[in-house]
Amino acid sequence: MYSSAKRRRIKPYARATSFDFNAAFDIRHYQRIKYGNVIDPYFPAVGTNEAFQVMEGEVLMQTQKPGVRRYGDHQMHVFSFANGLEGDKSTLNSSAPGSSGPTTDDMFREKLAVMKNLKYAGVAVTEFKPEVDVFEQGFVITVAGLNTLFNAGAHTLYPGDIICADIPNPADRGQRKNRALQTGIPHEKLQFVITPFTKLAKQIGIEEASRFIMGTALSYSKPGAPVDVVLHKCNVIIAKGKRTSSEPSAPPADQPRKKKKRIINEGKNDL
Amino acid sequence: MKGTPAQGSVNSSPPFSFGSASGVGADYGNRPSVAALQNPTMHNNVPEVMVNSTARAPLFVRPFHRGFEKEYSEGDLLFVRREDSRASSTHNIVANLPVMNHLLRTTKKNGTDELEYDSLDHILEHWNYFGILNNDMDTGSKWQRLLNVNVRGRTRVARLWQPDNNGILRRGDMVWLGIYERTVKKNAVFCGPKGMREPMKRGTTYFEVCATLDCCNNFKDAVYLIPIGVVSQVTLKKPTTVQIQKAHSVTETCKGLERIEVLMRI
Repeated sequence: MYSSAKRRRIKPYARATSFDFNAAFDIRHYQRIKYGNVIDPYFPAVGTNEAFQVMEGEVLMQTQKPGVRRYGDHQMHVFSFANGLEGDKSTLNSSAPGSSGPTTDDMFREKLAVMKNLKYAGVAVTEFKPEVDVFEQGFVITVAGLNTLFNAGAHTLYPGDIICADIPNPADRGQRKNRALQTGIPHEKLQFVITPFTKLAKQIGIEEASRFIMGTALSYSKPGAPVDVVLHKCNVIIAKGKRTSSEPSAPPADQPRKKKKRIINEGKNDL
Repeated sequence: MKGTPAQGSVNSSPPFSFGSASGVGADYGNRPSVAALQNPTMHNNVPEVMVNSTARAPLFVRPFHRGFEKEYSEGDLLFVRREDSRASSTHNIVANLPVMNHLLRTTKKNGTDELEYDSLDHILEHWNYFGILNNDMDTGSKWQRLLNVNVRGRTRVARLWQPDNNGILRRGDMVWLGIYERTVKKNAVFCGPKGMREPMKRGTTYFEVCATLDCCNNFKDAVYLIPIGVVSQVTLKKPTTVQIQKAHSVTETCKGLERIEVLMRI
């Protein structure tokens, strides 16, 4: 049934205690994706200009690939689209027409391969349009403070949840995997999403998930709703849990192998 | 006329003026009004933000049957329950440290004598640490509380931390909350948030949230550790070990502890 409710990001708070800086758009990654230099990507590439624009409040990532990052300057080069991202050689084009898609076990292995090439950067404060704006001028991103983001992910967020930047899971939304949830975003654009740390850690492991920690959720948010967050590089969480007696002896495939002691370094990002 | 001294009159344009002429006559006719004197003539506008600022977020609190939430005060560590049952509501079940420990110790599974929170996973599935209470935003209502909670930056918190061997808490120390698994060795009586006594059977295993420091011997015994912040100001007076222990279970005792200043989520 048609609903007139717009899925927008409404900001109730000023951005108190924010830490902002200037970053540049990753124009090489943009050109590579846009002009079809990607073979067998994990997510489908896209050709429309609008999909590459950085919009206010979008989660930003950097690529870790040395070939793409070789700019020779001191800028941070970031982007806000997941289209055209690649994993290792074994990854499938999970959104290709006719593809049956990966199994659950394969999916997180492939996802891990994709995420190993990424690094969390921050959240966009101002927008950037690569086709019209001045590349050298860049745009503003924030890494700390109160903020309101859009929960474009597949999970409900609860107040107090530690949240991570994530790529959308191809299976999360079934047939609608190519459609952006947020009003005003082109349907073919795949934005980076927010996922609770506990969920991401089960998919790609605690160490890898801890590289993508953004901060803490402050409000309840279902997928497709705004969420208030406090972004921070908070210290360390140590978990070395005694598990439930009912837990099976062998962990399921999407569980991290390490069980005895878990140490999460949240401050590892070298911003 | 360059080189000649000026008359010594003050700059009468805002923001330097009192909103009146500079000269006050013999009849006091030109004296500045009280309102004009109350307008600040000096401003501390600076291009950068003030240091050690704080980010706060509001939190609507659902009332407990026994009104635990009415006793929450500034400097209480707050936990929020994760649940979908009241998803349409903006209200949250919020517990301070004594109430949290009370719930961990006393909440039973439906129709049984077993404790509901029998594993760490179960606790983490239902509860999240949220922040430190700053003040009440809605003092007009006696039914509900709208709390203003510090979630980042400088905040005052009850002095629940004490290094081993009566050591001194210092600036720069990292303060933590640890979740510990305990077993009652002999029949024991605990205090609830309002000071009421709660008996526990021998051999019962339960979980407790305790303040700890990385220099403490029990630090490594915790099954889960949550970083609270870095100490930035400490009071001279040290609380006793008995006071601290009681403050973990009785809200009124927790309220009586001195407040220290910590920088959280930096």
